[in-house]
Amino acid sequence: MNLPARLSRSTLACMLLAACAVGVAEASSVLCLALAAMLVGGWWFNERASQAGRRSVSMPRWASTTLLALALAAAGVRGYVEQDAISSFLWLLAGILALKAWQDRRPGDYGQMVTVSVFMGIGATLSDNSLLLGIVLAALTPTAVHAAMLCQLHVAASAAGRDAQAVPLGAREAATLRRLSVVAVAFGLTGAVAAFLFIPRGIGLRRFGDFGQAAVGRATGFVEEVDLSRGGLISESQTRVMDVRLADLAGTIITEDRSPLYLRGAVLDSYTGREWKRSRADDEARVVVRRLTPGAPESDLPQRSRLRLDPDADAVVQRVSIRQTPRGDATMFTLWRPRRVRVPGGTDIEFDIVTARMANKGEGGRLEYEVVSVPRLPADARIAPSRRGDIPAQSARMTEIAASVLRAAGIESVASRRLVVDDAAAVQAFVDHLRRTCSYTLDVPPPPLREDPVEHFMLVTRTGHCELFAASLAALCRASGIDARVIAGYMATEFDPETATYLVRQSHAHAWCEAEVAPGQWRTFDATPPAGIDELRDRRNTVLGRLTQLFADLRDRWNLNVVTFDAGSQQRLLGSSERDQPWFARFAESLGRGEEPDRVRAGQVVRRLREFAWVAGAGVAAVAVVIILTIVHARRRSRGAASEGGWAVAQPDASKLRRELDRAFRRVGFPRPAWKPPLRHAAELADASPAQRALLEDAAHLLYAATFASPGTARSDSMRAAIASLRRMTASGSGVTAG
Amino acid sequence: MPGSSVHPGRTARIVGRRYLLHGPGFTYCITTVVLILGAINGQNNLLFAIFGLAAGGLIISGILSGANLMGVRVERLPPRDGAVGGTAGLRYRVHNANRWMPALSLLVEEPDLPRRSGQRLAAACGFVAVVRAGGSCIVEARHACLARGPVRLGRFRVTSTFPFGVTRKSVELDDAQELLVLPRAAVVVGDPLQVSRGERWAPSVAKVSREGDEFHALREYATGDPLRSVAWRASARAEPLLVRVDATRRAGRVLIAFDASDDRATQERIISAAAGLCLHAQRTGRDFALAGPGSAVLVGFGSGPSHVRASLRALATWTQGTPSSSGAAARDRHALRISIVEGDRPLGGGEGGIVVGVDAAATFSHEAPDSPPEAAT
Repeated sequence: MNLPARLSRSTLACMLLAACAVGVAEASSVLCLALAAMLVGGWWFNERASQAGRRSVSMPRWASTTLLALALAAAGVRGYVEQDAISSFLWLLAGILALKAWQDRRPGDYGQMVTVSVFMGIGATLSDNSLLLGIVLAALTPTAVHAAMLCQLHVAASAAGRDAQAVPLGAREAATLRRLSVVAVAFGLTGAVAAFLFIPRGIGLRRFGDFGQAAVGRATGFVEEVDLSRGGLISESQTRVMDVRLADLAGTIITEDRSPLYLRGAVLDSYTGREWKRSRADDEARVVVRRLTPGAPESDLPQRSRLRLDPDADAVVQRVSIRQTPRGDATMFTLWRPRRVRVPGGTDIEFDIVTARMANKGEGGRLEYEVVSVPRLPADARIAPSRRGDIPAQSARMTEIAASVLRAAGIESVASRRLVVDDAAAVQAFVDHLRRTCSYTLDVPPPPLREDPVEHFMLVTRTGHCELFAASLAALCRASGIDARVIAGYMATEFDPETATYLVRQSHAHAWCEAEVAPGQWRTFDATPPAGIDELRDRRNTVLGRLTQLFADLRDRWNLNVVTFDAGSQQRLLGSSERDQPWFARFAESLGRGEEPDRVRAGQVVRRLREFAWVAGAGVAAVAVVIILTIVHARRRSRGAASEGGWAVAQPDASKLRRELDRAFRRVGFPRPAWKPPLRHAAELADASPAQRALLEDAAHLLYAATFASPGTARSDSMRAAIASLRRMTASGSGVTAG
Repeated sequence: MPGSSVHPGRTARIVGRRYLLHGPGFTYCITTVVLILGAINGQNNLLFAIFGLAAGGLIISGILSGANLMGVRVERLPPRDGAVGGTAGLRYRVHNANRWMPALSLLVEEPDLPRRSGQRLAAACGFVAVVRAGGSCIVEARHACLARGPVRLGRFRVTSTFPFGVTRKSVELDDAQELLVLPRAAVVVGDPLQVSRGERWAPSVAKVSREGDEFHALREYATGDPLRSVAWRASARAEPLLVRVDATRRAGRVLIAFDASDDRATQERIISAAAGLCLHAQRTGRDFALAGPGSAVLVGFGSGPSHVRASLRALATWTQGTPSSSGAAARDRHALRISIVEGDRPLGGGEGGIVVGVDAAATFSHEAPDSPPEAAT
């Protein structure tokens, strides 16, 4: 196989893997298949043209420019509509790749296609970190390395003015390239593992906005604000977010499954511009900051004076371990209103008295804390039979919908005439209405620009995800005079009875509604149909469910050990007893702040450097052993050819021809001594048929030309034809006698 | 001067190594930096791993590319003369002294050769895909020959961008040699050396041979003489057995004198026509000599391939000094004079021989030949 054929196949493999990466990142098998079909079609078209000995019909410049402009425009529109630059970038690269697959090939094109494929892989990493993408990238890496090496050969051959088709790249050269690829990939993977393990985490988080983060909205996950204007398919990410254990006040772990648990995160009480947001909470009387020191006992959180509840009644202790939090403002999840909190490592806690939102204002990374809260209203909480005040409605149309729902349920629709005790029933009527008239899906088209997303959901599409259900319920409540807010958090449903732990994943992210059913008393209502939860539970008991669970376990391990590898994991793996952070993280951080690294004593640095040197040395030694074994193996394989004393070094087919010629001499009963030249030996054959002698002499001439003449004198195809003829002759088995 | 001549097995002297980070390398490095920024900003662990992969690729690229050229030893083989209109193949023996690492994707080139050669040779480079560890091969770079004259070969370079094209590595070697670009030989139409008034037998140069085509003499039979050379009729009349001795017909000696011209193009056409006549004389079995302006003999009488080669080399290296202003050269600067001579005296063509116009289509065709002159290959 010549060089272009090998390069073409490697490039195609590279492009197909890049298409898979984009498909995984975009969670679109249709996109993946369509792109793969276009790439294979273009490749086949060019290959056929090449085999037919003609240039492929190249795309005119104006056509390729127009298509490129269209791809740019499509990427721009997509980026504007979906507010997702990474996705648009991927679509643009996919368009360029598809365009190039159909264009006439020039020497630099292969390199460009490999480069675009690599960038597609990197771009996919910005969108998605799933196990599937990791597998695709693991396959893409060696393929791209091998293709890049072939590209260098191809470009150099073209620069020398040689017809690349004529550059022989036999099995031996290909094996050499493969070995070098293995060495390069092994070295690169060593670098990848080293970077993964040793680069300090938690430093510089979000200094450049969202750049580098897996795009939010492409997969399920917790969000601080609910933007209802976004559409598109939302995939369910199985990335593990946190573990939650419940205990009573005596410290006894609760081992029964109480799912679903609604873990409150962001409390969104303001609806503006098609988004649910948090209202400003900069009032000092409303927001309290508590500084918790390491090892300190629990700290009581301030409560609203109007709500006087027994803190120990039905109280639950939640031990939460969040795997990765950002620095500065990280939402802490709790069951209902937290009463007391304890953070073993110490941190600053911000607590909103009105909404009961709690956030970590300290360092990022893993966060572990204990919260005591009362998840339900006490049974003796009495609601005064007062009348409801007016709450501004979202729109007149929403007021009409709410009134019709309440009238259908037999509840007073006018807020000023309705008793407060009926508010809970009113909200429940809205929940029933939404569950009856709307269905749940993760594939939501974006709403029209001039239309309210909630009204569009309730009146037009009637399908949507939890955010739309929660926003609709809140809008209906407010339209009927009941104050309501949207809560973003997690709904924990995956309970592991062996460890008595709730495993909370990205896919458990949820949004629901809290309505003020009495003055100062907020109750949780979830309008999302519970079918999805039931389906999740039922799915585990089938064979397919078990297989899915097996893959999910693999995915969990990937997510746990790779995706969510953080400073804490780094600390546990590399060890650091004195401080919470690894020594190099503190060192790098002190450098980043421009301070003197006074905390890092010289002895510690030397000791850590020694440890690092041991680890690095072991890694380098392992790589060296792999390289030496590879080289020894290669030399052992090539020893036969090397012992030929420099024969046919440049043309590997010549060695094969020489072996075949000697075999032919032996088969005809006239073995050639090692000292005698093949041509002279062939000339001494007696009683051989003219055809046989001519064949042997021709083969000897070819061998001489391949060995001693200038490159290109003996063509590989001629030698292969001679080898085939010799094999046919020896197979016929006719003997001759020596003269 | 070290490396002024090449002996078998001796390689050229390495005078320097260069590592150049070019466009793709910059792109690679910038991408790597962006990767680590993105990884730090997003705490994206896959990006951390990809950054490590890219950094590892950068390091292994340096290691592989350094080792790729570290063991390369190159010898420029004695160059063969080229001819204008053809190519001069510069051949190099590339040996990889590295015991472990093969050398891949090597380009061998003569940097700045067109400028250094005075535009006598065009740029070209040779390519070899793989040289196995401890192996060697021959690489050839075919340079188009643009103008006649000597070309001094000095430094040449082996470059490679293997494995990823991040850096362009090169080894510069020094090996002083000389290559001669011969003039293009004009195609001679007909036989202009058959000077109508002068060409005849030259008895003093008759050469005795049994393989001749004309009868010369009879002599006694000697052991080993073929029977078919026995002159039976004469032997019947005489006692000893006689054999026939034939003589080879000998053409006349030709003096080819070319003129000088102030116009460079015309001068080159004259040189080209003279080269064509030299080859024609050799093909037709004539002795010939070559003379420059002012009848200055450049190459004396002789024949055979080596004589033709010497004549073409003389034409290749001939440079016009002060333009001649006397004799035949002054009369016609676009001409060649062809004389049949005996001893030192011209026999045909009058006092100065016959004059042949170099632009006469009936005599010369200055189109590029399909193949270079015989002496050049």
